[in-house]
Amino acid sequence: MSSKLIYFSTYSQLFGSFLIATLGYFYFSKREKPIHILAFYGLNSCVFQLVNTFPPRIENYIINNIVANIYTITETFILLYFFFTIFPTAWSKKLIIVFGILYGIVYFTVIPDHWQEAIGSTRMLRDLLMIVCSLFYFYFLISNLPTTQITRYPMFWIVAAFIFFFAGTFVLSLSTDYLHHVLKNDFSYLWPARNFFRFFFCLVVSYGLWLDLREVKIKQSAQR
Amino acid sequence: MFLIAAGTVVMLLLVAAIILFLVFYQKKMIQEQVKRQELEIVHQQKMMEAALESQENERRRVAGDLHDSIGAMLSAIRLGLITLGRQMPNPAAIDDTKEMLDETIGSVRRISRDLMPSTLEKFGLAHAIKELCERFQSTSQLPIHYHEDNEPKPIDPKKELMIFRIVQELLNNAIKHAKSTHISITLRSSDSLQIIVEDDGVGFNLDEQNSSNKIEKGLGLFNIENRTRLLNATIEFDKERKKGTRTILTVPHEAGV
Repeated sequence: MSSKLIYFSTYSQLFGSFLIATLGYFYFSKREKPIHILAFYGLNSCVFQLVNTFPPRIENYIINNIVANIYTITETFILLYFFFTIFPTAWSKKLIIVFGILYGIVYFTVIPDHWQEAIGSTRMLRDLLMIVCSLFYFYFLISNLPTTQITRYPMFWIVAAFIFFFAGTFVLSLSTDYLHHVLKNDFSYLWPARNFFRFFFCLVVSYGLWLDLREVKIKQSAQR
Repeated sequence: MFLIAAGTVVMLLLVAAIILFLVFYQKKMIQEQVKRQELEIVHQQKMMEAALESQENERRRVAGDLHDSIGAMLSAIRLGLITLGRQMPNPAAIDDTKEMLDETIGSVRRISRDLMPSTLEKFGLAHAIKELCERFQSTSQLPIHYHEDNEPKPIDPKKELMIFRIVQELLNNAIKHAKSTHISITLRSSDSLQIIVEDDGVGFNLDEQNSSNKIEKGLGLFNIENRTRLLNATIEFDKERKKGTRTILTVPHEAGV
């Protein structure tokens, strides 16, 4: 696999993150809190990916792993906070806090001695938490079904993108340590597939954000 | 590597199944909700129809009793009174009583006709409305103009009675509440049957009436709305008019007309 493909896939997902941030920041004051968090999530991803994809650094795996390890915890906490804002009940919000604490404990137990390595357990736990949170969201959605078509709901698309992406990367995260030992530096050649997958994820999230933006515009024109 | 690919595919398939289930489940739920709402509307319409039908049956019974029983008895009393008058030395002494009796007989006939218009059953809607205008004009002393663009198409008797009741109520309102000096009724029949009732009275605030409850709104307007709904018709109150009220009842022909 050529390094061109690695670059292309990396820039694709960078573009995806940029799209999320842009669509999230339009009409920022009129948007709701979960959208603000997503816009920040997009921006956060952009910053980390820019640091990681800066041409002289893209093949420096040690620095890349450090940046990726920091990104993993920021991404997890941002997305947990996102779910915290969209969950409707007090107990589910408490559950998110428990998830956050649990993740923090695992992260700071595992990472300090392995900053320069690609650690599977933290990524796997992040994926698992996101899958569980998404499932919980769908459970809430099904127990209080909206009367309008579910596919017109921005949050449906956003959470569907989350569950799809994190379920897709879960097995890869689970086997990161093993692959790292077996493939050594060739392990990075698996990344384009994941990057393209993440680009697709960003597109679906962006579609959800666009639906939300359209609703905001309609509401605003109705108020005039 | 194969295990990773297979595991990923399995996970993705599971997630796709969950999302598809959610979408289809919600679609099914919406369909069921729509069905339930439609059934409720049909049920409500049937209830309304039954209530109005029993009202009409009761009116028919009371009208029959008034005409056949009380009317006949009053006529017999009148005959007795005339015979008694002939035997009296001064027949003019009972003239006032006879006059009062004649008025009572007339009132009984009018009430009986209002309750169940025989003209409607015998000659149809146009004649019944025309006769209604004449009767209202003679009792209220208000000029009521009746105009017919063309002969209306044959109508289902049940619907005909509902339309007649609406016109009756509109005329009642114009005379009782509107303080009008002139009323006109126009009947038009083309793609649909259109009845326009106009008066030059004080008019009324429809928004105010709509926001009030059934009792405040008055049973008249409430019944007009119910009958209009059952006829699948529309009723428009011209709010732009500066003076008086203009009401347009449009009954589509496919609604059994």
